[in-house]
Amino acid sequence: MKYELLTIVELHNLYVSKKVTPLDVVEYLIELIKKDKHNFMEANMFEEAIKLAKNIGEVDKDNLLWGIPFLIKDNIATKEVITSASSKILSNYISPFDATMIKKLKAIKAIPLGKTTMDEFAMGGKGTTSHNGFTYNPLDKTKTKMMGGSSSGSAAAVTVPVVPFALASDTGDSIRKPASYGGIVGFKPSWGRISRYGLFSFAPSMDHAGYFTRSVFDAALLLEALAGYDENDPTSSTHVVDKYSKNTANSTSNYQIAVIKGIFDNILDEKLKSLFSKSIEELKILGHKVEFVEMPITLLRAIFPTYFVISCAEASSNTACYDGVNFGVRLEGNTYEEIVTKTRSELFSAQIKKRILYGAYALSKDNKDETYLRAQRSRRKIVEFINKLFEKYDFIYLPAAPSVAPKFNEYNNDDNFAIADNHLAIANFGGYPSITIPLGKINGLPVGVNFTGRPFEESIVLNIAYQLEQILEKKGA
Amino acid sequence: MMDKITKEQIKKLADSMYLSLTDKEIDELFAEFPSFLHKIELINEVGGVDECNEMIFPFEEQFGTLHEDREGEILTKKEVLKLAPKTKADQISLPKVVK
Repeated sequence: MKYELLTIVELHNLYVSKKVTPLDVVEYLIELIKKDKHNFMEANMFEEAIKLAKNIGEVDKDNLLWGIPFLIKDNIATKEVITSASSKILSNYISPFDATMIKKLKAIKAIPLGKTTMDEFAMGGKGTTSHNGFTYNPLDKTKTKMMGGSSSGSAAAVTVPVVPFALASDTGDSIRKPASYGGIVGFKPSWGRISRYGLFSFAPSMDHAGYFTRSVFDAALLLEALAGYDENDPTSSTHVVDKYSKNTANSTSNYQIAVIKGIFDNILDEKLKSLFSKSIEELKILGHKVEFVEMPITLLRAIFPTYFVISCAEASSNTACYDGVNFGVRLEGNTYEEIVTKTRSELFSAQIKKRILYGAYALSKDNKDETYLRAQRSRRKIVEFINKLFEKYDFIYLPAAPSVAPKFNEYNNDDNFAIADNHLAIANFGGYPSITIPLGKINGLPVGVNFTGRPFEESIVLNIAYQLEQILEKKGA
Repeated sequence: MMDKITKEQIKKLADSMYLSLTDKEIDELFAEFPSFLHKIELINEVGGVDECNEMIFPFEEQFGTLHEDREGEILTKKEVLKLAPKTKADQISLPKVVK
């Protein structure tokens, strides 16, 4: 049996029926991973995984994550193996503790198989800046199209597929856009819903923990396992953890859905627009109200710049600890300054150095007010507008990306294209739960759609995504 | 805010961040900096952008709560030394940080 094609629920049912054991599945998937050529692995935990699978004991019928294998983005701390954030500077770093996400999954006997590649320190959107090179989109045989980033390895591993889920992080769209390019589910719940203890900071005011799955229901199951207050993460939320899986499959509310016209209009791919418009009709048939709404063009054009300035500024500060003395590989020098400068200059990639310097510019005394602080004010303006929309509408609904996975060397610098390409950052500004699901295919490659909802209303975000997923699957999307 | 940047200013900025750039890196950043400055111009165009407070985190609500002091997980001396890049006589060896 091809275990790699199964969802969490399907694997669980096989375990309960005793047709297969976690050891069978783990050994099978390890062989698949070893043969794979898409460069999505950073480090493996195979030995430990086999040991866990051998000693797992009797199947727990009520625990759907029992014995389920998974992969972990390499910016999430693990005790057993190196956590490098795909950077040369951390290529020797072994965390003395497991991230809370890992602890929780281990406690319910899910089985980690290893760590996945990413854009270095999660700064990037193509999956090209890992110290191990490019991560390839498994759906593109020519190896010229991107998986998207920064969670490129986790996205590729679920797309190939080799695992039913993979943990990841999302600061601008790092889960939800690669999910679109891979035809899989990518979910980031509200800011603070999942503990970030052990998740390396890139831009903490926008960093979210999340994951990829192959079904919306699996995404709901995982949220039940991962959500909750963690005293180790002062930004984690004390909001009640809902019965997400029950709510996802059962709710039948009629929702109000907004499509932001200025974003939809800037998508140039007519086939994508047509598929998306058909999905609106499906939502209407399900009883939901869908309306196009206007958003000022100045706010739309400010989304990507606001994200970029804030993230670079926070990143320049958050990468200061990587100096070869406090953290990471240390290069030799005669003085402290020489050690730090040599280490950072030689071991950060050019891309990271650029972002640090943009951030340093934004934070410098002469520029701070008109750059960093103004970006924070622009963020508030955007969030105020979206919060106003959420007074009337339950969700914002949009194509997750303006096209199928682009080629690695494709670049479009147009301000209007940037609106369609980067709008998912809105959910990072406001901490909103946001999910991408597959919509269909264009010339054999997938495209996805995204629902974003009010903070801590994960249950209904998952529910609307589940409803559409069921309809689209029936129609063979 | 500056409306353009010089290569000298880029070097100075890099020094302040303990980064030493190659000539190629400086040239690249110099060529790409106008695009960064253009992004800032787009932010400036947001209506009433200076008439509100900065947004630092997504929610106004403060999540953090205090908890009782208690002993947490502690690493053994052996574990700590294993994680250290350099050790000497059962102690972590650090580079000299004062002249």
